[in-house]
Amino acid sequence: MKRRSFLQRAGLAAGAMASVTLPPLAWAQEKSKLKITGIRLVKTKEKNPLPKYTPSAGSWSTQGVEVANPVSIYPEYKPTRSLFQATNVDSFTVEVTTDKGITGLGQGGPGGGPIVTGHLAKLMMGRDPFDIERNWDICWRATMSYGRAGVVFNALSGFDNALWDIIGKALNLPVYDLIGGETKDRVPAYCTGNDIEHHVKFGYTKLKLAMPHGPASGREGMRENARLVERARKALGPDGEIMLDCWMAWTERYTIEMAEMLEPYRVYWMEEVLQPHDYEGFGRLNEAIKSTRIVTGEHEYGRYGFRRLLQVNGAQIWQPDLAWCGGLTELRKIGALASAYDIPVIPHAGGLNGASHFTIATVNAPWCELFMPPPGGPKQVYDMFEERYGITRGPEGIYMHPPREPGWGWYFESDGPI
Amino acid sequence: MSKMPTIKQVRAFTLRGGGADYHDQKGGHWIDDHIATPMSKYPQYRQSRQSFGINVLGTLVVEIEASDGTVGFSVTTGGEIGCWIVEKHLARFLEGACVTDIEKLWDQMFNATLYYGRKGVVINTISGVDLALWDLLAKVRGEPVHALLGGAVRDELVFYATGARPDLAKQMGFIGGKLPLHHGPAEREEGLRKNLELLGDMRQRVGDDFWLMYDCWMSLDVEYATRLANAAAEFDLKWIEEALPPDDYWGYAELRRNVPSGMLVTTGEHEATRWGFRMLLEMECCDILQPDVGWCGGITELLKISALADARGKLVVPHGSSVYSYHFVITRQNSPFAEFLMMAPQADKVVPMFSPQLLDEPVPVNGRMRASALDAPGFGVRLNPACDLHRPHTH
Repeated sequence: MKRRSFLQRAGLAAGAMASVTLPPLAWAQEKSKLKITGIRLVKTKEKNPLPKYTPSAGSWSTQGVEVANPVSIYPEYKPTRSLFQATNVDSFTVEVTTDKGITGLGQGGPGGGPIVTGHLAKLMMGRDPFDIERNWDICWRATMSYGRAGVVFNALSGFDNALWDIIGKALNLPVYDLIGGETKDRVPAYCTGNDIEHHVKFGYTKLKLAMPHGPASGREGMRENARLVERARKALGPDGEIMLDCWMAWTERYTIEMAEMLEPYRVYWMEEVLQPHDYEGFGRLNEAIKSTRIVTGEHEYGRYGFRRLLQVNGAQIWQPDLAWCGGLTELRKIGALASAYDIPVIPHAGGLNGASHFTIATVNAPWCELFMPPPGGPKQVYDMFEERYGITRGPEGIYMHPPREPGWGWYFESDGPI
Repeated sequence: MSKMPTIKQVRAFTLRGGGADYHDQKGGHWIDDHIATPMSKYPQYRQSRQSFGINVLGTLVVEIEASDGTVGFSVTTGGEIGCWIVEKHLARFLEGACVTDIEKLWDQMFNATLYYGRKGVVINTISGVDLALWDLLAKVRGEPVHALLGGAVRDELVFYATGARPDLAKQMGFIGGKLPLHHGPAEREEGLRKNLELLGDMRQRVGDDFWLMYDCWMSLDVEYATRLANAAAEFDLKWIEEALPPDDYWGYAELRRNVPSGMLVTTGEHEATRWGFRMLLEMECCDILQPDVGWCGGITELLKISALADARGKLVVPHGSSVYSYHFVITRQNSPFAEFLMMAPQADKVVPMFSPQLLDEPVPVNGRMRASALDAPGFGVRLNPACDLHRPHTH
């Protein structure tokens, strides 16, 4: 349990201590024993892969469907998001190795990989991974001239997350036990995706729908959005919750009109209706709309970004992404800022990307976002999914629990360098 | 998968004589020598803070024993009432809980006492329990508390000294000296003149580059504080601290607009929780936040207060509190220096801040403290077995 015993078990204690003349304090002996010796991007493979299958015909999860987005105003990119999304600007996994054999994996966001290897590595090689605050601050300051958001934060997030993995493994504790322990026994999960009946049948009572249409689809698009919400309300009955993901696609006026149209279906939140730089617009909508909650945050970065959102009262719930917002170190600061204003934090994609460790350890983090394997698969695929995410059922539908293994307890492992 | 120990027993004790209740000193100490307070308007309470009961609480010692035998402890100001709250109310949440579950325990203690707590002695008590929990968790993990908070961001701490002798503090290597203000508005123009004369005298003794500050311990009003600050600019007063009663957020905002350009307004030692500090920040009350980790809600809450301040580019320089502050300050980029309270009666030498209650309590040498001085597990201190512990309540 203690690092000392871990290191002894690993047979590492004896050699390095030989040169110590006076017996220093236990911690002082051990502190220098972990040093970052390698930082590289890796491919990953699932430890226990879910079987491959072809989803049922008509499943939303095939991704060949229209989802409203900021590029929808251009007809050539409107049909699917894959038409405009980059093919070679990937999210990444970084592997940080130490001189004592403990290795951490961290996930970061699109385009961040080259910054990790091209800049952060130069700063971080040889450092103690336990110096979480200093390491983060050095990366933040050193990239300030071209960073502060976006790709550079995607990079910083992945690196920071890898350090937390190392610390958890060195201490033999899951990440949530490093940051305050369990504040709840399990985490209520909501499911994102438009295979509504499939998700309800599985047991979810909280659904987030991807809105197919925005202003580019006109009035008929609005009616189609409403029909989708109506379908979800029918499938859930009166008590479940419906959330809408609008992925930066709408406008202020459009949002107000949609909110009026959807009032009979009781929508719990409308997410990221505007583009992330329009802080004042989010603030005005939050004032104007009382029938639902205006929420956002997945494309916001760092404590300063969320402070800006806070100052205009831009969102009733914050949705930072662990792999984009600055990593766990920054997510905790964002969470603290939110807590002083009693704002819930429900990290983007939190059930999948490790942020459920934050959620279970944070009082003002009530739910996490989860997805589901598409319909049409063999029973085994859903059983394995339940096991991977620690799924249980209860009054709020589906619950999950972060992995109890040391570190993040990723379901994948390194498959060698990229 | 590891199995962390659970909490077996919580015990609360009182202790008299210095230490965490650092106002609880014998006669002839600078800390009780005609210092301006909110009670200074009553002549009979003007000469001594002990005369109105500043040391009435005494020290609260919280001990938390885990199922594996590890014991974490802390000291803060809280005395017998604190013991009662720990034993009769908070113990139920703690005993049986896992030593890692810091966040839930804080939330339960805070919410369970919301109807009679929120500030003051209840939060002092919760702070004491929280510090003992961090001490315990760090000892179970075999690490110093600062390693649990993100690790040291610098290799050493630098300190300013609070006490009656900034001139001696300069010789001892500190970066600044904070004087207690002696005279409040009730002593009218003569008192103001004396306040300025002392500052002027100290400025002459310490030269140009040494920081001088005034701690006003809630004793002034906006008008007096404004005049003091403007007149003190001549002697390059770096900051004016806790000039007003802590509930007067509006007064602080006004004072901050009134002080000369470059002079800082600081406060926070009698503020509690993220919600209290949110008020100070939103109303632009001050330039530096000075929470006391033993009074503001403990380390768990101080981390949140610090994040709140950091998002607004504000510094957090915790009030006093010895190792409990040192372990925090060294982990935070927006806490660039620390306070050292001079507990020698004449402020003429460095003695451990919480002496005689703690053993192994590190002190600055030449105004500095190496990070390695904080490397023993937990907060790295032991309760002095010579202390006369009293457990007034059990559960």
